[in-house]
Amino acid sequence: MNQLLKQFLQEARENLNFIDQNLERLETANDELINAIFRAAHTLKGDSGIVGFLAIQEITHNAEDLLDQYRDKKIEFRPEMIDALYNAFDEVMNLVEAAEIQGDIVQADEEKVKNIIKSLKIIINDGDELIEVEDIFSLPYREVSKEQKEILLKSDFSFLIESGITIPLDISINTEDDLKKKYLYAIIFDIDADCMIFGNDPIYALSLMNNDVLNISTCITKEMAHKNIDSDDSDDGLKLNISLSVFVYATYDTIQNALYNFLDDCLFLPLDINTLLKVDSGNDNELGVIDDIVQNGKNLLKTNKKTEFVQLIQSSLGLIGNESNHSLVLQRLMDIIMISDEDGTNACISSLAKLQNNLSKSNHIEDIENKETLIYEKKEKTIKIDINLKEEIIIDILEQQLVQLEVVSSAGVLERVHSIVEKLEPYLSHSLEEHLSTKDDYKEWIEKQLNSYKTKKATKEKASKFVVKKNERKIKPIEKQTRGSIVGKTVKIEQESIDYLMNLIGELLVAKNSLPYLADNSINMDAKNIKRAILEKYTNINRLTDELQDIIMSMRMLPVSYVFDRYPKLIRDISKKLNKKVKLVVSGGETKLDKNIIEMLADPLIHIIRNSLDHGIESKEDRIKLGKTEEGYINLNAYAQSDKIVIEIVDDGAGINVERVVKKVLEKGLLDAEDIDKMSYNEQAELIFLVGLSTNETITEFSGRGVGMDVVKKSLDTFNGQINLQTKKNKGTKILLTIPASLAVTSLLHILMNQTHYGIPMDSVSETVKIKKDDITYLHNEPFVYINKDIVPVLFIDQMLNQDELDYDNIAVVVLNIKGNLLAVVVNELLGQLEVVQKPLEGILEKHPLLSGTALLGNGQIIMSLDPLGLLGSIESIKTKEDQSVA
Amino acid sequence: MVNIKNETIILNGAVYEDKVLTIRKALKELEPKPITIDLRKCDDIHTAVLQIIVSYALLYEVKYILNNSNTTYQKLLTGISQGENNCH
Repeated sequence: MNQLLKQFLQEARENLNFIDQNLERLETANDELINAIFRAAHTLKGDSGIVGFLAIQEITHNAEDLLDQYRDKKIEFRPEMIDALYNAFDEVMNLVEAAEIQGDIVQADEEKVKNIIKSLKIIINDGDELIEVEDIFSLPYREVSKEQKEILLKSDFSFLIESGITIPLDISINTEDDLKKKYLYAIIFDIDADCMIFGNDPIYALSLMNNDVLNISTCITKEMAHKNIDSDDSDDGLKLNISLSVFVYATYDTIQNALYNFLDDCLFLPLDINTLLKVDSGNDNELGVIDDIVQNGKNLLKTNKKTEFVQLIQSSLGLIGNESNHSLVLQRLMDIIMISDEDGTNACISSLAKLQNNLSKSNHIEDIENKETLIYEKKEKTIKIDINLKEEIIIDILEQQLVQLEVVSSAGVLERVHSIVEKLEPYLSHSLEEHLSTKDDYKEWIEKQLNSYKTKKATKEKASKFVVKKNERKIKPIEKQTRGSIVGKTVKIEQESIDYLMNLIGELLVAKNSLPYLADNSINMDAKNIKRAILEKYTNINRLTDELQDIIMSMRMLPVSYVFDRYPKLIRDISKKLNKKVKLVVSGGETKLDKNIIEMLADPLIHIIRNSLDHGIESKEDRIKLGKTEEGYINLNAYAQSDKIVIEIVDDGAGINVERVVKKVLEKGLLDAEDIDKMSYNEQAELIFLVGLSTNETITEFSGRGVGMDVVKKSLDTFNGQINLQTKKNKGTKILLTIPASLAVTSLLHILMNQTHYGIPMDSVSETVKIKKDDITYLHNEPFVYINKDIVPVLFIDQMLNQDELDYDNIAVVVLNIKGNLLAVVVNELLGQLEVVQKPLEGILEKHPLLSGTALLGNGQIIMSLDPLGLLGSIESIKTKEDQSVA
Repeated sequence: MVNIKNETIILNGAVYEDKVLTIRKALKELEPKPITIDLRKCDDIHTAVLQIIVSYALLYEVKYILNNSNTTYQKLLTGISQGENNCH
């Protein structure tokens, strides 16, 4: 795997974990948390783009959009939002895990990605179902907002005169081919302030387009400018604190290539003459001068005297004031007239006329007929170009009629409005109603038309937003992935721990270096002093290694919340499918556990929770009948108890139907009725851990295949965990998982048998005693010993024990408690307690029934670790063999 | 390379982000004097450096001496500086 991808996957996992842990709280989250979630999604999107993981980029891009809208309070919280975001980030996690396994970028399930994006977009569009239109071309870039457009259009465009390019009258980018044509684009950089820290320099990227970049506009507040200059040396100055707007005359493809790293964070506005002329002239009144400019200007332009027109405006600007609203329009006309073709010139003439009309309107609308003519001219022209513009124009005209109705009080206004609306009738969805007589009637009717048009337009826009680009992604479905590592392959370590570790290593080096000196000095020392000196050194080194062990162990310890945080979503999803209402209460998430145990704990806990949800918590109706609250609860709690960690899973459900469990066990012949009778109620309930037992009548997708609970037990066995349960009918069930806090260091009872060193895990050792041969009694030829009034079977391991070396008046016995079963193991010699780093057995010893691992002793000798369960099993097999031989 | 002579800052060759602190320190010392930035032999400037120059130019008087290369950084320095109310 390449280093960049490896780093991305590591960081993606961290961001996804953060999102996963906090998404649930989105509704009640403060701005800081919402921003943090947004930033995590934003980083994921950016990083995935850099490594070329397109599927992740696409999903996170849409998820980020949704979070952005929510952050800016453009959309309100809805529960579906959480589901859609969880689905999106779950798929991203699947892709990350698949990439980790394959060591390369994987392809996603195209259909799945499409559905995820669709569900996100529906929420972005405020719940409206999107009209999915296949194969419609959509713009590959985000367009600037209306407000940004207004700001952009107030810019000075005088650089256009120098550029000498020809700008079209109107741009409609409707096909991919349009993207291959050179246009004047205004690009707003809405980029991450940290981009330069990550090595992305926007000006360098722009320089790749050489002379295609016509102008760069910067914007910075005075406050920020002061901050930039006055920062101290702790600020490296790499945060981007200026806004950049760039004017580029190039094909979109060229821009895409140059701004590859910034593309998602740029907003585009293709500029044409019509757009440039849409500058708001406001209402200031310089009638006399403007009238002159308009009249003279029209004549100059009609005779194609562009230079004279520019001179006319230049000389007139001083008269109307550079700061006036109209001067902006005139300056713009001056900027673009030199680069406009015939159509552009006509548009400039219309714009001039409009300028005059606007002025007139501010006083009184007498020139309305003139205006109508202008509007219709526009309509005639644009209908041919783009059908969407027709709607725009109709809306425009209707809005103007509304203005007229409000502003004009003369009697003729109704007739004029009526005649205009009549002309528009063929394009309107409703025919003109006959009863319209008053101003209010007309206003109401026009508003109705406008609403109808605007809704239609908005629906179309939404439809066009949802893009399905054919052949854009060649994605094959990935194999069904099971969730891999919970924690990931890396562990974050506090700087303080590393420093402490360095100090210890330093001390260890000093201790090591002192040994050669001791060797030199020992020539002049007697044996007693040499021993004392060595022991001194040993004490020091022993202290250091103990501290080293402690610090390394603490580095492996992670909060159990790593695994707990996965369950809110699981519970919400399953309870929703089962139509149950369940609340999850989590406590003790900060309790620390070994990283490996956290990994191993995830699946057993899922099984238990699924069972609680499926079999435990009753349906809403049943709970009400039983006098319970409609909402059930599952309580996950973790706490430390001596060197063990206990995890409780408590629910207030129906409890385990112990009678049914017993019945099933008997039906399947898994145990005898006699054995079951001896058991307590809770022990009978624990029979659900037997392999192949399922009491649920219906197999559901969540549980009920009879594999769940025995898998739980097996999983816990692998790391010496224990499972116990307490249940009460209609009150609920409490499951207790008792697990060792760490797996890395094992505490062993060091024993010697036939000159071979063995270790028995201290977890299983109940006590060590010395007995006499006479203490051993035989029941049915089985050796037993009474220890603390318990009858304990005695095990002589013939293959390992040297019976000749046994002192029959003083036999060393290790009493083991293996899951409640006592067993007395006879050994040759008890040597004490050891802490070792145990290694698993490999090769031919891998499946040895009595041995579970090996470790090294201080003198380099190997110690074999005995498996208590294997020892218990051996006594059972001995018994079976004897039974068979008797038979 | 960065050279500072009185109120003139001379930037030569390519000026990368490692010069941010040097140039910022120089500008801090010159603040609020009108300055001249000589870019005649300057090929390229990192955005972080341009950002400080543009900041100084917004607050105080800055005169640029440019060559005829019309590079991208020159377009930024001589480009439109929108009023702060118009920041996106």
